[in-house]
Amino acid sequence: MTWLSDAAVDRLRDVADWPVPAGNRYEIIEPIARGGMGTVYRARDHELDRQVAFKVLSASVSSPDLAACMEQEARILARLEHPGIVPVYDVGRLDDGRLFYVMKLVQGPRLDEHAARRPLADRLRCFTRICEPVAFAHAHGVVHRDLKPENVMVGRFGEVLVMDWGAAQVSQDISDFRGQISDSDVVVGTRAYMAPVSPVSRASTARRSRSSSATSRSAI
Amino acid sequence: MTRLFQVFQRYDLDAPTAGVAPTYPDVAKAFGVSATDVTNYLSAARKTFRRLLLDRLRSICGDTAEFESEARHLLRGGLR
Repeated sequence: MTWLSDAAVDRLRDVADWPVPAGNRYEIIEPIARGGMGTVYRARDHELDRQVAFKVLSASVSSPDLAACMEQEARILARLEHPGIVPVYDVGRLDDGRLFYVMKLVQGPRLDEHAARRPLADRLRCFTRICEPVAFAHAHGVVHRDLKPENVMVGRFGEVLVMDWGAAQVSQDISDFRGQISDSDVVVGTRAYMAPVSPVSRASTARRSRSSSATSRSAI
Repeated sequence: MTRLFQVFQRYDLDAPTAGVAPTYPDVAKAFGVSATDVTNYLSAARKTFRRLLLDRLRSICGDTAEFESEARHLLRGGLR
């Protein structure tokens, strides 16, 4: 009998759940982030010869609500073409029916990691760069609802990108906004960064900007 | 040994042990198959591995709760 090495066992524990997209365009390399909704993998796009981020609904999550959230997230990202919002390249489904979408691979630290070692002027610059895509989204009827330092990434060349739009709400009418309450009456977002009124009532966009204030305090 | 398992062995077992990371085209070239074949072989092999692993785990667990807990621990992505 041949014993497997620890590295091989580790690899098997991972790959048993790794998605294998049909065809040979995308090759999964490694997981780079795990959230409540899905896992993001570094992947190779053989067709365009570049690395991309491949987000797929977690195998352990079968809730139709979460699948719908992820589908909406992909649509929102596709709709919001802005330098501060990560672009979506492709969307599809795996053989097992799970939704995936492919986006730009952002290489760099999250804002909370970046801000800890940067001077004040740079942190303030980051904050204004966060406000631009958020304002752009608001102008297109989209409210992020989970803005926090962990959802902002700073690229190698100083570009600032607002990530994770899975909790966002879309509406053309400001009066339709439900604050942090989802359509299925679940509180969405991160409590420490919510506007104080949000979890219990419908909040205006202005009030919701308090999450930007909490994020800015965190950054500064 | 079938070609399917040979591809699985090269890509998922031998490579990480050796500290190398071959691409699908690398493995395809080594076995004289297409990159699409590599994708399909890996997909089938991983599904089979997962099924066998969970079958074995189910057979040694006392109840469903224990099985699900052990599976979550063993497979980082959890059950589906």
